[in-house]
Formats: sequence, C-alpha cells, structure tokens
Amino acid sequence: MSPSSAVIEIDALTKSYGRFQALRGLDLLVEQGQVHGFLGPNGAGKSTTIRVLLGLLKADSGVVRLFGKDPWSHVTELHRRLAYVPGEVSLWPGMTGGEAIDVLGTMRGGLNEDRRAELLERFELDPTKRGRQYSKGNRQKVAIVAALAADVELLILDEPTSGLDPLMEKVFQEVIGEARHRGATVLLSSHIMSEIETLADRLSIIRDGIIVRSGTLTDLRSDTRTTIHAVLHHVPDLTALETLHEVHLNGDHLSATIESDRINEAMALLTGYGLASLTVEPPSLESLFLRLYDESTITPEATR
Amino acid sequence: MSAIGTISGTRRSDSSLTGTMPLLRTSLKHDGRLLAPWILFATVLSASSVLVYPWVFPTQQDRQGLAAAIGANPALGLIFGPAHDLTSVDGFNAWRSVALGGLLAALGAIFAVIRATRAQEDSGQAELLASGVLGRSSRLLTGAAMALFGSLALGIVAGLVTIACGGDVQASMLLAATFTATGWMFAAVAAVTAQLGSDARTANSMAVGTLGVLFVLRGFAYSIDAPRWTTWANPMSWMVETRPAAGNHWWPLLPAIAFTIVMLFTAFVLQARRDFGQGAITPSPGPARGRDRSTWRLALRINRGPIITWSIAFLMLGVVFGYFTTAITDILGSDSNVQQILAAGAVTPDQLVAASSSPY
Repeated sequence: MSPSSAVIEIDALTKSYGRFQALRGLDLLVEQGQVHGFLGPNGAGKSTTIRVLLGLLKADSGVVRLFGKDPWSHVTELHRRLAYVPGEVSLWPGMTGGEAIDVLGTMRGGLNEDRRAELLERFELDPTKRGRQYSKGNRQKVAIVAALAADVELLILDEPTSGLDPLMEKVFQEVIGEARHRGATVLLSSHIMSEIETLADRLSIIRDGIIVRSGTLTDLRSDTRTTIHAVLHHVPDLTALETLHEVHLNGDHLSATIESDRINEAMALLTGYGLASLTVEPPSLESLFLRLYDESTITPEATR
Repeated sequence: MSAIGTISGTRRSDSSLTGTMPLLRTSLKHDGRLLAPWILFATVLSASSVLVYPWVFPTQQDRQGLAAAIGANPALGLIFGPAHDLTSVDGFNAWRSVALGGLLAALGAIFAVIRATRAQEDSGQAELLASGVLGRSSRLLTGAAMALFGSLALGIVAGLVTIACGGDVQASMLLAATFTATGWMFAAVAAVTAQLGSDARTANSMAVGTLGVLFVLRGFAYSIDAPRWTTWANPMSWMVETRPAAGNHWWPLLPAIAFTIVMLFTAFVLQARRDFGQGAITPSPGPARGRDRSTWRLALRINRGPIITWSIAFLMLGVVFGYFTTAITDILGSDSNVQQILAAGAVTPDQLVAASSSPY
C-alpha cells in the first residue's frame, strides 16, 4: 500500500451544512486499478463525499487527495483525468443525446470516437432524441456513454444504474469490467448489492458520515457469521452447542450462526446428532449490510 | 493513460474561469432563443409608439392636450414616470417606453441568469457540467454573459428598429441604451440572488421582487415630488434621468455600469464562499404533519401562495386603474382626435379601445 498508488486518499474528512454534520471523520483509500464499491443508505454522506472529491464542496477539515493533489485547488487539472456519472442526469431539454455526449466530451478534453460508437450500440441509445424525450434510464445512459468514452484514469459513479433495466445493468457491468482492464480506477457508489458483489474489488460501507467497514468482500464476509438451519434426529442439550451462536431450538429444528471460518467444527458437532436436513447460508452482502446497520444503530461508537 | 497525464500537465492554464467559452457557446445555442421574446416585446413597445403617435396626435393642440391630461394623472406617473416632453414623437416614446422597456429587459436578464446558474444546480445539470474541465466560476460567468449579451442585443435591435420606424437617432439609441443598462443591472442583481436563495424559485422571486419594489418606488417618488436624493438612491430612476429627446443625457448610464460591475463582483465573491447546491438563506422547515382533510382544504393549501400574490397584484392594479378611469374623461374631453373617432362611428368596444388605448 504505497501512497503513490493511491488514486483517492481521504483522511478524517468532515463537512457540515450549517448545523447538520454530513461527514464526521470519513476515511477512504482507493488504489489504482481498483473498482471500489461505496455503499450506504440515503443521507449517509455518499454524495457529499463525491462532491468533495469533485472539488464542488470544500472540506471543513481533514485531508483529501485525488491523484495526490487537493481536489478543491486543482479542479480543472484533475477533471481532465476523471469522468463522473451522477444518479440524476439532467440535460438541456432541446439538446439531443448525441450532442450532450459531445458537449460533455469537449468539456472533458475529447472522446474516443470508436468507443463512443460502440457504447451507443451496446446501450441501445438513440443519440438523435432530445433531452426532454428521454426517460430517466436513457438520460443516465447519455452520461454513462459520455463518461466511458473518455480516456480517463478515474471514473466516479454515483448510483449510475438506478434507472437502468436488468439487461442494461448487465451491459453496464461488462463495460465497467472493460474499463478496469484498461487500467481505470472506479469509485462506484451503489444501492444494488449484486452490482457491488460482481464488480467491486474492495468496498467501504458508510453510515452517518463515517466509514463503518472497509475491505475486500472476503474480508467483510469473514467478519460475518454463516447461518445454519438443520433438522436433527436427536435433540441436543443446549449446553453442548456452545460453539454456535444465536441458537434457537424448536422441537427438532435448530437454527444458529457460526463464524464463517469455523463451519467444519459446526458440521462435526451437528453430525453427532444425526442430520435429517441441513441448509447453510453464506453471508450475503445484503445480510452483512443490514447487520452492520443494526449494530451501529445500537452502538454507533462501537464500530469506530 | 499516462499520455493524457502529461498532456494535462503541459496544458495547465487552470483558472476559475476555464471552460467558459465552450459552455457559453452551448448555452447560447440551446437557451439563447429564450431571450427572443423579451427582445421582441421591447422592440415592439418602442417602435409602436413612434409609428402610432403622429397618427393619434397629429396636431400640436392634441399633443398639448395629452401632456396636460397625463400631467394631471398621478397613476400614470406611477407606472410610466414623469413626462419630460410629450410634444414630440421621441419625447412621447421616451415617456411610454423607458420604464416598461427597462422592466422587460430586466425580467429577461433575471430569468436568463437564474436559469443558467441556480436552476441548473437544482436539476443536477450543474453537477454533471462541473465534473468536466470547468472552473468554479465558469457557470456563473456564462449565465451573466448570456444576460449581458441578451440585454445588449435587446438594446441594439430595439434602437435600430425604432430608428427605422422614424425615431430620432440619438433619442432612440439613448432610450434603447437605458433598456440595455437596466437589463445589465438586474442581470447582476440576479447573479447575487442566485447565491443567496437556496433554489431557483427563491432566487427568481428575490430578484423580481427587488425589481418590482424599485420600479414602484421610482414611480412613487416622481408622483409625490419626493426630495431630489431619492432619484439617485434608486437605479431605476437613473434611467429616467437620461431624458431621451428632452436633453439626451448619456451620463446617468455610467452609474448603471458601475452598479452592474459592483453587483457582479459581489456575486462572484459570494459564489466562491458558498457551498455548491446551498444558498446563504436556508429555507425554514415546514410543518411535519398535514392537517388538510378535505378536498377544499387541499385546494386552498395548494393555491395559497398564488391566491395571496394575485390578490395583492389585483389590489394594486385596482388602485392604478381607479385613478386611470377618473382621468379618461379628461383625455377624451381635450383630445379632439379621439372625439373625431367617436364621432366617425366608433360604436363597438373594439373600435373604441383601438382608438383610445394605443397611446398607453
């Protein structure tokens, strides 16, 4: 983790709007070539963080570095190296999608023409329609095509697929995969767990203006317990099941959780009672997410 | 990738105004046409008085009658301001157009600025644009430049068309220049309110409200013969003091330009100090619970704002027209031309309106 390979470095960032504290000491590290998932519910501070990274908002305190430079004081220089897709895309109503892509491209310092044509085809976007005729999804495609047709080193995507149908969502995932192959770094803020699970190398989960967990998906999964449901021939004594957590016995039905790296022990234990049926659920990102949020609701300081 | 890095390294002309030209070009192409109606209205206003005046008031006697009737009516002064010279075509045009033409130019400029600045932040378009290679002040500069160009075009078109219709060159150009100057001043006012209000509607209302208050104060000051300093305290009055066709003073345009520069400077300073998407004035929170349980209450709740504003507007119109109706008999009594039209058989309301309303 040499600092030179970090594309985004945020350390103890705070930002308030009047009395409302949007960010309360946020840390974020995104290294070059990574697809970094940025997860959190509405109002957690995702968009504020992105606006600070884009140099639209000035940090109250903390260190923010984009390609090693302060995004507030090097706006235009840094913007030549990045492209951004907002969740809510708004265009001039009288401007066609094709024109909008070119305007955005011009303001970014040029587009890759071949890729522009290819992306239009893959996203099935008609570039001759005007802004007011496009649906939300199609306006989003305009911004996605404009961003991905630019040869930039960093893509910042703020819930880019919230208006796309599942087919286009799949195309989007392919296209992001290709961008990563070209060596681009991606910061992907999203609500869609499967999207993050498929695309992200690492992810950070934000809550109430701080990062509550950050790491690879495997890292985060190992923190979380696997759920076991079993029907047993012999009903065990509760004291014999101390390896397991959250044990519920209902007749011969057992449900419990176990640390993901101790499944073997649990299996050995349960086999002794004769297994009639068994379900093992690995922790999904969703359960992980919900769990983190539950925890933090009870003890917000414990996760810091 | 690294090639792009080096290009950006060598091309470091970074300033807070980088990217203004491409943005301005695109904005003019796609929003420029929205300025057209304002240019048209102001041009028709100024050119029509030059065309109509000799026809409605052909003799010196008619013109003096008009001057006397208007001089006796404070309500007309409230709207149009003082009449310096109503015995010439250009003097009449100056009286009729200086206030309203400026009002039109100012409204067009306000809407142009807010549309290109605050409204884009509301819609999210600004965020998308600002992620490009665009300096922090470029969007404000673009909006201001659109309004300044628009006001200039309005002045040039209105002036040239008025001259083509028979207006005196100097008087018509000076009158048109007051339109441009008013547009400029309120473009700058709107640039400031765009930093204060936290959404486009608030910013628009603040700028238009300022315009309305200054407009009414200007008329009021002239109707009641207020002390002389009130003229110089109100930018709208500076325009009247140019007196097109009745002295042709160009110098009151200078404070207007100075006012524009100071307000624009203020706007850029405020813009640099505020957060993107926020305004200096935070909206106060509304009620958390709804109490409207019937359709009638709902209808009333939804239309509360318009009901109040339109009631006030009609109340004010009523006061003005109340004055106006008492005075129309004076105008008719002294104006032989209108009497002739009536005598010649203007029996339908349309004919009467066509004959009598044209000078106003």
